[in-house]
Amino acid sequence: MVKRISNDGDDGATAYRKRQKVVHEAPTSEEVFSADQLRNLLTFDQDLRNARHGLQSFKSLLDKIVSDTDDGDRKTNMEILQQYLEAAKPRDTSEDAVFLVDIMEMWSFAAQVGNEGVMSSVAVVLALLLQAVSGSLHLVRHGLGICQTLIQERQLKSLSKNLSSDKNKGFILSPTLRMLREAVCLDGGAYAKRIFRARNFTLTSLGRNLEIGHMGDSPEEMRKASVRTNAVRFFLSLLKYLHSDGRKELLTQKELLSHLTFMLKSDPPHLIVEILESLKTHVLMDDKVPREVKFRSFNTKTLMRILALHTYSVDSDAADEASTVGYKAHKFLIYVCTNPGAGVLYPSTGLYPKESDDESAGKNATGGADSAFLTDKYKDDVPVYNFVLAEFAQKLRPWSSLKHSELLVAIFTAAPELTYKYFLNNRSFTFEPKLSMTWIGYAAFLFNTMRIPLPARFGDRVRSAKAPPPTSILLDNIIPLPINQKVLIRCLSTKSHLTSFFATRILIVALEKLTEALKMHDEASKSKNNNWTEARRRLIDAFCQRIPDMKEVVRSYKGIPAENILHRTMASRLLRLYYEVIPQVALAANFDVSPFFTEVLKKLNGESEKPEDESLLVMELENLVSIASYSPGMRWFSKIDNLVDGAAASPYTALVRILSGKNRELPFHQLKQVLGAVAVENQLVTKATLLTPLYEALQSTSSEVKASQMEKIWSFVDNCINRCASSPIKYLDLMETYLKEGGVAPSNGAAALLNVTMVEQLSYFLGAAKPDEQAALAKFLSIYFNASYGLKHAKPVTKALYKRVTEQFPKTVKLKSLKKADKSDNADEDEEMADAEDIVGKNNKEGSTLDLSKLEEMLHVPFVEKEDNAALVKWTTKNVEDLVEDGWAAALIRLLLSTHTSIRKEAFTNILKMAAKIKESSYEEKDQVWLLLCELAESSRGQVDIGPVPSAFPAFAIHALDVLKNPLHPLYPKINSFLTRSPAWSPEKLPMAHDILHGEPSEDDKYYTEITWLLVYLLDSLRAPFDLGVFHKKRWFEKILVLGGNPYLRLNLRTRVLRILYRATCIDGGSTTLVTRFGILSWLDAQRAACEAADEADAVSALMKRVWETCDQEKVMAWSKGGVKKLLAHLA
Amino acid sequence: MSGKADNQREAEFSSYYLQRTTQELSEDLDKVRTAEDFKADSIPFLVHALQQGAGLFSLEDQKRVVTASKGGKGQDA
Repeated sequence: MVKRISNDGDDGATAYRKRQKVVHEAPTSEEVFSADQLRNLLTFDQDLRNARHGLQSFKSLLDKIVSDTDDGDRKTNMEILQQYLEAAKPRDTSEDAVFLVDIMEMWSFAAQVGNEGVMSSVAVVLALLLQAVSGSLHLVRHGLGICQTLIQERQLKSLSKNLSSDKNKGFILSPTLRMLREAVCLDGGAYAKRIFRARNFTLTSLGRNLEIGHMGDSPEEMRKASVRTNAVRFFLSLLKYLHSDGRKELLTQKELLSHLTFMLKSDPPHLIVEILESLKTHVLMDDKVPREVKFRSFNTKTLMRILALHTYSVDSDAADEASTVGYKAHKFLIYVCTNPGAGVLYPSTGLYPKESDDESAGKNATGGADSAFLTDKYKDDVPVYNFVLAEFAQKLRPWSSLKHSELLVAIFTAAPELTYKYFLNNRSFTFEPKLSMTWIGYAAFLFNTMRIPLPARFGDRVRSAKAPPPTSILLDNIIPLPINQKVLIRCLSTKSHLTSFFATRILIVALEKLTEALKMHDEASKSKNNNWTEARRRLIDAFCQRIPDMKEVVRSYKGIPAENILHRTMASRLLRLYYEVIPQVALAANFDVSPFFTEVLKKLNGESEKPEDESLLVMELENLVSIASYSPGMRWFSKIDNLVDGAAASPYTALVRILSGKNRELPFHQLKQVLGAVAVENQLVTKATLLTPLYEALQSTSSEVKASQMEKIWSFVDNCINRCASSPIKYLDLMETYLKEGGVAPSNGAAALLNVTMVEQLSYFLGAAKPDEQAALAKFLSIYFNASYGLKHAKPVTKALYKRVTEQFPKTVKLKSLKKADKSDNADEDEEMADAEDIVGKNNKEGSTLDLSKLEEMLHVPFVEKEDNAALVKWTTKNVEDLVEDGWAAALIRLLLSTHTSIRKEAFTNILKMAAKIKESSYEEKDQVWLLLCELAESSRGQVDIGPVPSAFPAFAIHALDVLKNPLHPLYPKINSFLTRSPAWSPEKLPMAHDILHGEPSEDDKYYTEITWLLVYLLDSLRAPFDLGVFHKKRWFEKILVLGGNPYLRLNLRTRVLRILYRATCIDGGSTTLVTRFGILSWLDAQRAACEAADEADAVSALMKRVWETCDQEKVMAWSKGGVKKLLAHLA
Repeated sequence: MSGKADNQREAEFSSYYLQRTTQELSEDLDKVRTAEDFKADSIPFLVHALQQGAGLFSLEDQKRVVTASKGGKGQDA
């Protein structure tokens, strides 16, 4: 009712418009046959009905031109049009000339009186006309004239009037927008700039018009485009034809882009694609459009609207993924978010957080002391350059949409600074395992995030030259925040194979990425910056706290059914990575790999699997073999029942069997390497290459003899290997005897002790074997010794041994003589089979020797970790188990070394309190721990007032704690009996060290495990000149050096010995004492000469140099009477 | 080896990997399929999630598995 009243009160113009509606509904027209007729029809007439009639007739003609396919008709009509245009052309050639003056008059008049029919018709006709002439070269100039006319003031007013018609007047708005678009596009956009310049008129109500979408339920048809579609096209054509400056202007028009994207989701697919493509080509890819314009245009709101297209509804019937709107929007977003030129992505500094203005670059460089502060600083938030992307990232749902996940990973890759921030702000979304799609989606997203490589130099060349990135940020880039120990343990639980499978993969990626990060630290620390070494340690510590203990992984591995070989392969790889990357965690778990190892071996030797499955099994086996080689307790040579085809064998022989199997063409480099190393270590052979004849002989023999005979040979070989490994000394003696008897000089270097065992064992075998078995063995031995004889080294020895072999066989069995061996074949084999290690060694020898920084990296163990004074207070809040297991007790003990008397005193009292608390608890090992703490306190009682207690006390206590909490530790009994021996320890002695070095090992094969523990403990016991005195007076250096002289010591133990020496050089007077009291330089020189690996020799020579540089050179020169100079000159 | 052969090998390995994972985790996958948040369009995501681990195998290891399978087939035939 209200509306009617207002209409009633309207002026005449409105009333006129209302009456005109009838006319609009029934426009009349006639067919046009000539230009003259057309001209007459279009003559200006105040009676707009006539005008409408003329326009409608013209429209019919133009329609035919534009849409006609019949060439003849089209040509005729084009001629009429051309003649008409020629006739109507203004004489005036200036810019004020008015083309199609009659039509323009009609338009202007109609606009004044509000005749919507004519307003619409004019626009329709002009749009069609422009379209028609655009295709014809000689008519284009008329089109250009029309464009020129359009931007004259009168037409502009009409235009503006048309464009601001009511919302529901689509029949006016659409053709007007179409006309504008044609005008912009004509002749390669010749008028685009001028049309845009008149934007006060030409862009009238564009924002509103962009939002007049298609109404109705049926989808919008191509031919009946909505006002919005026409407006969008006009806008896009402007974008296309304007130059960069114009584009910039256009984009900064108020909210235009917002209007453009507002209804994006309900647009027809072709329009969306057009919009996205045009925005990409003409805005994002245009380098001259300033970045802040792009940045402002593509704000979070716009990005979210495009993101919403992922679930675009019309897409479902699209044939292939790549042509869907969802996919295109996805690609578009990836482009916007990851392309630095697109304006949204800002250059950032990788894992180094954005510096605020008042932060000077130098402040971060201090590292060490500031590190704790820095870690805390970014605990809740971190400043970033890409705040828009950060905001946008938060809106994504990577756990429920693959595209979101991909997009987010792409964003993280392009702006690594955002990874940390994202997870920091998204803490509420946990990784608690659940068998749901959301969890799987999240796991997949996390996995992909972790797979993003670390940016070179951690993303900032300049700052990485000064200091490492904050540990927390780096850590989260390696293992994102939601992945923590607790959650992982739950994932690894045996309840669900799926969660444990995903968790295993995630941990593998994490450890591999950590390796990369550590490598980067090592490279950076070369450049003399100490912070990096410190940061490296911090990173490892923090990482270890994030991941589950190895026992959890072992438990998970045990729980995987045997048939799930892929899962098992991955889990074994994870275990291996624990050993390789964080051995401190792996070795603490005391994992006995042998049962698994044999299980896989049995499987491989048992029923045949599918070949691809078998490859996985081999990978699992390789992983386990590597683990075995890292585990000190591995029993390589004890027989296990039913290991190979129902027969007993040692794991070692079983592996040799796999290597000598004929049908396996898989590369077994790794197996070979480990077997070689184990053989050398157990003195079967002196060089890994000496095993090659064995593999070859076994392989070729097995193809020549019967299976049952081969079994005998296997059992002979197995027997020899195990005997040789278990009593090498016996065979060393025997070898000497043999050589003496044979009149052969002992060879230096390569000789296979295994061969001696074979000679010795042969008689027993022959006694029990049937003739055919004897013949088979003869064949094997002749092949084997011939192959060995081919090697350059120790030919006389081999010959002598072979002689003994042939003598033992009965006369009926003939063996090939060695000379028959084809030398030409074997001569160069030795060269080919050089150990991998040797090659590395040789290469290194050619290069320069180790410099001091490298030496430091190898041998320098930082002095005891920073004192954590907070432990004095914090421990009281922890339960007893945490005190022991989480290192609170150790932290407290360490405070006894503090340089401040008050702290030492506090620590002393607190240790007693802690002991009391532990004693009262129900902790399983409470008595021993209590005793240990009390003895420590008792021994330190007199010392705390004077100065730091002898380093040996805390060192022993801390390392003993580690043993006490693990009753399976080989030292457990020894420590217990030590603790019950006396109430206090002498400050002049190293507690319990003697018992380990000189006592019997608690278990036969644990000697080296105990020595390892001892060397770590000794290293920690050597910190101050006082400690040096204890080592010196109690002759500990001699003992250590004697230990280091053991030729069978493994490399890692040798390194530990060198570390202690290095540590001594760091203490005042240490080097001088070492040189003058222990002749350390000659000792090292002897070690160096005995080294097989070149890099070890380099390390030793570098250590010699260091000793020389840190000693009292004058005194040493005098002491050695100049000998030192000669020795060192020899080095250089 | 040409890139094409590598790509093909990767694809073969990837499909083997997927087949193994679905086989080994079948029980749990059934449970996931009945989970509330499992929709028709979850399948490609699930496949992606399962298959993504294939990238953890080095090209050389992938080759070992794929060629082993071919060798095996050859022998069978």
